[in-house]
Amino acid sequence: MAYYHELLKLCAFDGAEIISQKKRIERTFQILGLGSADMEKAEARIRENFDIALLGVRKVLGIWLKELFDAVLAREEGKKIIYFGYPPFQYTGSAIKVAAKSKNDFYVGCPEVVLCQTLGQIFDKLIPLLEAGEAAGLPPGHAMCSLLQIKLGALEKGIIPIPDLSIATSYFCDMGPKADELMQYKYGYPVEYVDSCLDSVWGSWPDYNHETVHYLGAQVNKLFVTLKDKFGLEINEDIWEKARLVSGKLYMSINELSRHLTADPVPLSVADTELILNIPTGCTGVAIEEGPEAVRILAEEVGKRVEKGVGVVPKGSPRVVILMQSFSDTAVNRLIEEAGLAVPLTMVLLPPTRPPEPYPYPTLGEKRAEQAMFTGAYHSTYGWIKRNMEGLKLVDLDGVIYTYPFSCRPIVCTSKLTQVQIEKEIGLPVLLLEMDLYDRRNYSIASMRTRLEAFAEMLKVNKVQGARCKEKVAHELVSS
Amino acid sequence: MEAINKIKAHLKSGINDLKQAKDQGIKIIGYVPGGYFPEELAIAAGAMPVCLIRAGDHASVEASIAYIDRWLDTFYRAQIGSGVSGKDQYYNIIDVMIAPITDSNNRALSDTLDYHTDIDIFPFGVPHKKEESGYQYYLHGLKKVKAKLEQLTGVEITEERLKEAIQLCNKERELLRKISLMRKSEIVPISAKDFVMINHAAMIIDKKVLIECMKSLIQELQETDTDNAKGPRLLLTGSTLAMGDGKILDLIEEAGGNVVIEEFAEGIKPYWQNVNTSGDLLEALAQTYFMDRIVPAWFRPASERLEYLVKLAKDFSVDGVVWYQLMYRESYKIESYYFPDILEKETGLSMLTLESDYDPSEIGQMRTRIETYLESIRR
Repeated sequence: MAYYHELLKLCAFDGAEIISQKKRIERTFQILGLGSADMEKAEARIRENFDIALLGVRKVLGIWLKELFDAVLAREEGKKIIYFGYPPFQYTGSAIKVAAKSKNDFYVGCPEVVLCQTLGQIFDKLIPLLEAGEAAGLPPGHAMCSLLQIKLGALEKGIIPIPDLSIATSYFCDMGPKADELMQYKYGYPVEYVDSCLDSVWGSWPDYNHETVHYLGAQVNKLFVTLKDKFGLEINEDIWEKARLVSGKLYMSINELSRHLTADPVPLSVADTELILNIPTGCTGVAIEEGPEAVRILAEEVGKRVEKGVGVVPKGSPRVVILMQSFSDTAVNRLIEEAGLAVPLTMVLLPPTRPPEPYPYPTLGEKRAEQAMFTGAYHSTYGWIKRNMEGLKLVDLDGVIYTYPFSCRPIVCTSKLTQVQIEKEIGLPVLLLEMDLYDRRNYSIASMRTRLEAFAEMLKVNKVQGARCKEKVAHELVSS
Repeated sequence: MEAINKIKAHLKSGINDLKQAKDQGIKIIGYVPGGYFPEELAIAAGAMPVCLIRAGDHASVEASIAYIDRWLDTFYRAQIGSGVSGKDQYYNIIDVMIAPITDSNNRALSDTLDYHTDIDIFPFGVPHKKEESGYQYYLHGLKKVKAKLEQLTGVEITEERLKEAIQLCNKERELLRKISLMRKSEIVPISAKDFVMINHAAMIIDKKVLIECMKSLIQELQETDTDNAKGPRLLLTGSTLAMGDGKILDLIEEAGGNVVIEEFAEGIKPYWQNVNTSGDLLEALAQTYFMDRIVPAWFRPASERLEYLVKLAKDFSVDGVVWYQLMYRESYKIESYYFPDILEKETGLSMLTLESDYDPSEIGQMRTRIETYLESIRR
């Protein structure tokens, strides 16, 4: 039996699949330098960190491994390669994939996200990539984005192929496009920068400036022209709609799962939900094809837990929403629940607010730009905060833990303003928990645990006092 | 030199001049540095522009801690600290702060001051690419700024008023250029500290006063036989050279180095191009301030800037390059990794990279590194 057989079985591969994919699997592990000891360690990590009693979780882990094979082997398998930065702009990646004549012609994705989910979550092998990225131009000690260090390190080590094109949004994050410029200098690949300006006036979201939509729209349209000229890919309204429907299947399954996650007790750990939320941000291939079914299975399994009242923390635990989970370290993802707090949602899963009537913009680029503005993050700091607050108002919560990566400037800009705004307008206590989503060397689990436990204690006391207060009011009403 | 002393005196009394102007009902237009706000618009509106370029003191950085994370550029954290403190005379006197939004750092400044202070903040976007659509967006931003200033001052910015203001600023640029170019020669008649001081003055004091002082200065410089070029000739470049952040120039001078040309995104006002005074004047401003100027590191891509640095190094016959950046300004940090390779290939020169968080404890290390670098050049 092959040295990877048990790991892949654990990740819900079937026997026939392992045999048919043998060459690809072995070639990938050879490039990554992963041997039998690594497989054993990975198995142990999965058993320890993920809810493997659930087939859905195992299937999602398997999907990530398949994405890893596709990313690593893309060049050897003769595919055209297009990378996009994190976070991706709308459904651009999916639209490119849909526009391709054959799904095997292109690899389109955000490989650093795939590496986090696999080499990070499963194999705990990210550190060498981070070190390679640091040595190749994104040095430590300067709050450089560790996700970009991983990408640079992977290119430097030849783990992922040099792309034919990289798409970078050049206004939300400054470091992403600048790192692409560095990589362009080192490896010579072309970069298409999609530009705009986050210059909306404080307090203006959801309103927006038409000129901003025109500019961003023109940039998106220019990207479409590049894709046509370079690869013969025609992105039009039909293609976009098809891409939306393809991604929509996954989102429908995620919504089904999210409905169960709001139960008390919360039935699934954030360590497991993290695996799902990054599928649309990092992948356009096998994960989008197989993801909806895997997540549907998981939703069904989780639904049964809800019926039985099974949860990952006791019923009645204080409920918090978090900003994001770690992409690479399950230990940190489990901390919040270990402190006795239930996490029904992340900010990504907050209920959507009703979008305004779209303006009849004439081009696809402008329509996408308008949509991006409404999501808040691409509008302004205020848009990001306000959009999240509108969602928070719709959920029954006891607090917010703003788990944010210290090296992500667009998020760092928002942290303290988010805290004061939420505390002032919604009255929920907010813990700012500075961390790193991709590099576990940048935080201490022990110190984070201390802060979380103190916050959890406060929320528990608040909850008890709140209940007593309600009882007292009810008693006084009855007496009067 | 007499003219230098005059400029220094005016710079020293800058805040009092602004107070006097304010007492007379003149509006004071504060703006975030970076060279993307055309002062011409403020002048044409009958207002006084003043750049919020003062920094270098660690106390302002410390004052920002309660309002913003430390992982942003030091200069912008210092501005946040100054703005929220309520003690900074410049922030206290301005009627509006015009904030050209370029990257996350000045977005954080604009948003944080908007939220935590009563300062009237007026952001407008600066695209990151020199393309027609970017030019149009910037031009649209200038139109918004013009409307804002007209509303604030009650003065219509007519073509005539704008033309006059452009001519005034062109004169200032011309004179700055003339003084700067004198440093190309073997004999360097003016020190970098003085030139930077004049450049900073151009962002603070009355233009007519400065122009007269610069005219006298040029005459003095033409007549002087003082040579400042005693040590290795250096190009000093980086993200921000704030007024009050004089340590880098002091340390280089003390170590025997001689900065003959500077290039900074913030802190050195662009002076190489004049604005055309014919045709549509707002378009002319957008052309010069956006399309013609050398891009900062946060442009996509910013290779134009790196090519320009190579050109400056050659044109000013420098012996070395000192790259001075502030902490957590990632676009400059990343460039500082690969630019030495380009510089070496194109000119054979080496580069010293220094970083600052406006912390006094940095000075000892910086001094050692500068001395070592200059020693290596001399050998």
